[in-house]
Amino acid sequence: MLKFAIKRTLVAIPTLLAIITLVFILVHMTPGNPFDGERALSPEALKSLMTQYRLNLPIWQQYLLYLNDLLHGSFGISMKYLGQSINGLLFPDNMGGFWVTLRLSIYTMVIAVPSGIILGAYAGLHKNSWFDKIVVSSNIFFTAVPTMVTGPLAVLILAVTLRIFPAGGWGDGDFQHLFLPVLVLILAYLPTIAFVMRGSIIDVLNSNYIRTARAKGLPTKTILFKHAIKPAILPVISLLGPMFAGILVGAVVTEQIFTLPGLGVLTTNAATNRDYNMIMAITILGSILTIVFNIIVDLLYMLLDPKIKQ
Amino acid sequence: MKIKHLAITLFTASLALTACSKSSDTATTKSKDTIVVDNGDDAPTTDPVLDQDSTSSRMVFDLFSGLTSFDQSNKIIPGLAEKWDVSPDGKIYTFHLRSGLKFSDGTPITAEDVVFSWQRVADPKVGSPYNMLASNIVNGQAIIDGKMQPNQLGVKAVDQNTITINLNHPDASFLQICAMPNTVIVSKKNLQKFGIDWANPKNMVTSGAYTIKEWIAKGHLTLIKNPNYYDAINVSIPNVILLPIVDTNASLNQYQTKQIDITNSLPIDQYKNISQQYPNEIHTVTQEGLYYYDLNMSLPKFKSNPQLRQALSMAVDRQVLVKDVLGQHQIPAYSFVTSTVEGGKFAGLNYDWATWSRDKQITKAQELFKAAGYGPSNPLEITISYNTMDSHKKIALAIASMWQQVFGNNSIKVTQGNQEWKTFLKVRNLANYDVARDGWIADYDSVDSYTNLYQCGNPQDNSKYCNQEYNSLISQAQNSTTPEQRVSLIKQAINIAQNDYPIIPLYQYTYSRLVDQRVTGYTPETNHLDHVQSKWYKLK
Repeated sequence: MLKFAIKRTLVAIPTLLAIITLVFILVHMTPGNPFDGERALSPEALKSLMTQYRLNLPIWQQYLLYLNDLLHGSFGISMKYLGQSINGLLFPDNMGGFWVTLRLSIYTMVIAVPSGIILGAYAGLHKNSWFDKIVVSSNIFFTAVPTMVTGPLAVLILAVTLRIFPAGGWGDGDFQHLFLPVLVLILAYLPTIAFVMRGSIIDVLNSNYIRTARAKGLPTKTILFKHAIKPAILPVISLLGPMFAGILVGAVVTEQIFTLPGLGVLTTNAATNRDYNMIMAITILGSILTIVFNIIVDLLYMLLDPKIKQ
Repeated sequence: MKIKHLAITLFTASLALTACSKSSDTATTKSKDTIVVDNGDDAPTTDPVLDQDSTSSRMVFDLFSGLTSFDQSNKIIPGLAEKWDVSPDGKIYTFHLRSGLKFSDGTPITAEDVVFSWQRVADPKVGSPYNMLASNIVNGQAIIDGKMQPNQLGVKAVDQNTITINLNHPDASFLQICAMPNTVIVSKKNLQKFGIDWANPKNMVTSGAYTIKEWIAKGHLTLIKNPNYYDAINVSIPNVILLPIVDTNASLNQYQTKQIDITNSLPIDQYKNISQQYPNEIHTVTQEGLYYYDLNMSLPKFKSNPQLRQALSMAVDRQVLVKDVLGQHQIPAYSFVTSTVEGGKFAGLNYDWATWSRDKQITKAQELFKAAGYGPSNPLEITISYNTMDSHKKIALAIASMWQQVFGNNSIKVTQGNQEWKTFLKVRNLANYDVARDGWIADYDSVDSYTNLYQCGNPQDNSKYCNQEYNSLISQAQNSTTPEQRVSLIKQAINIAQNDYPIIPLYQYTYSRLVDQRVTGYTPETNHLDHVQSKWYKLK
């Protein structure tokens, strides 16, 4: 298994390099530069900034210098927050940037995954019951109604009208401030987990080996917990890796609605301000997270499914 | 079992993460020691010379002091300098620093720090976007152009507490320049110790009412009172939290839930409701700035056709625009400068047709349009370019509709061209547009803020307008010997530019914000420049 993990990691390196190259080219091709503003800079000031940020060099030279920075563990200096290091902005000593989004993601996953699995399994076991219909329809509903609708609605009802929770902000990362954003993220992800689990358990329960188990007279509880759950959970696990990575770098709307200082907000901020180094850093971080989570998912698959191990 | 283990592991990890994280300072409960203010966005820089936006300026005014300062009515009052003398020819300013001045780390503020701070403004290696503030100082322009060394700037320390600043020509607004965020005084020792990293909040030493305690990108900026500030006795709130809330709806929500004390701005479509809901908390203030449309003077259709330019300007019903489209008490603009700048010295420069009846304006605009060679047989096709934002879109749609109503649908075809912000800036700067939205907020109360915009080759001259006669009059005004002569020459220049119609002035800005009733001491009504200092705030 270790051999597999090492092999996958080595294969990921060229993938990552390809992503870095592509994004580097795309970012530098985008119209406008980081220092364009309503007030045009004097040619001397612009020249000075371009030199400081190496933007005066040919693009291939900038690219090689950027790779060199990366090899030394540096994402460079922000072009929006002049003089601030990207590493410091993304991973500050105090709570902010990646740490905010990581905490949001963990709370969301800790609640959404077990609840989704349990609800989905129960719905699958009681196919066509009222409970099953609720799970199916809520999946359709929350897929159709995105966080940009549920978020403001939650703020309007639970914050502005009922005054139970704050309308936004991170506060101390306390329960009060986290409740609404985590709720909105759970509403976005839980129904999907439940829906996949439901479909999976229905498939498994219709399979031949379960029928054989039933024919042998095994009790339902044993069939379910010993033989059905394990294979049924595999599709959910394959969903979790990209989902976790997705929340980590993609909770843009939620973070904006609740004005949270996380990665999503930093991403949009970087894109609108042409903060090349920040865009690159977040893309690389997102790619690494996706690759790592996919490897973890594959390893979990191997643990749960002996067929794959072979 | 494995799921159970996974859940337990994740839950434990999240608890550990919660426990390990340091507690931040964002107050959510109202405390008399802390005021929470929405600053609209993050400040891109903590280095005053690099400041070029209102969010950074707001922070710099709290962290640093200049030789002079603005009061709440934008009047000049003493800052670090307790007094100053001006030579009879208006070219030499001698500033006398207060005694016992200290930076936040307790080191003394000396004339040497002042000289150093001004040299940074002009130094091309520092790259200040506002280096033009030093251009009128002796050798300033040559330093900006890299032809002389910064230490040759005409700012000299006479002794520990006295500084002289030599100007090339008299400037009525120079004391305001000394109060600008870019010319505030920084610690030479601190900069030499930390180099480029001096502006990192961890290393920063300040000369203003506050210092930085904590900053989280897109999170919050917590300021604490600087006990070494010269006017510390009058700073009543120990902690200030500035929040970067970009979305005006989110800001309003947080105001309604009592999380913030002062909003930065308001959602335009909710202005009426908010005015009714919070009549005693809403403040709407005329701002020293103009919103206008550039006509691309590098295009043949505009360059060679003054009648067309005038027709397009006259056809816009500014009253409808400000009342029905915008509705935040903006003032219709019929001149290239506001009626409020420099205490109203340039108030009477409106186009003569501004007072005509709407019917008369329309008739004349139609005549000019026809004379310009356009009509059903030769319809005018133009695109209005603007950066993607609801308010710009509303205005563009309204103006397109006005033009179509006045000239007829068969005679003019208007297309909307909204673009993402940076793309739009590029397009406008390279003059790849027909008509582009533009706007200018004055940094200080001087007509120069506006007249510079229309000078040949000025980087802000987005319409690419150039009239040497205009340039010559502005140049003469700068060298004029009496204030009356200066005003007269500038008025002549403005009249020339206005009659060339390179832009369509639309309205004078206002800004609106909600201020919680527990906040006293802040009177924005006369603060047309919107320069704000937290030291003014008091809490009930």
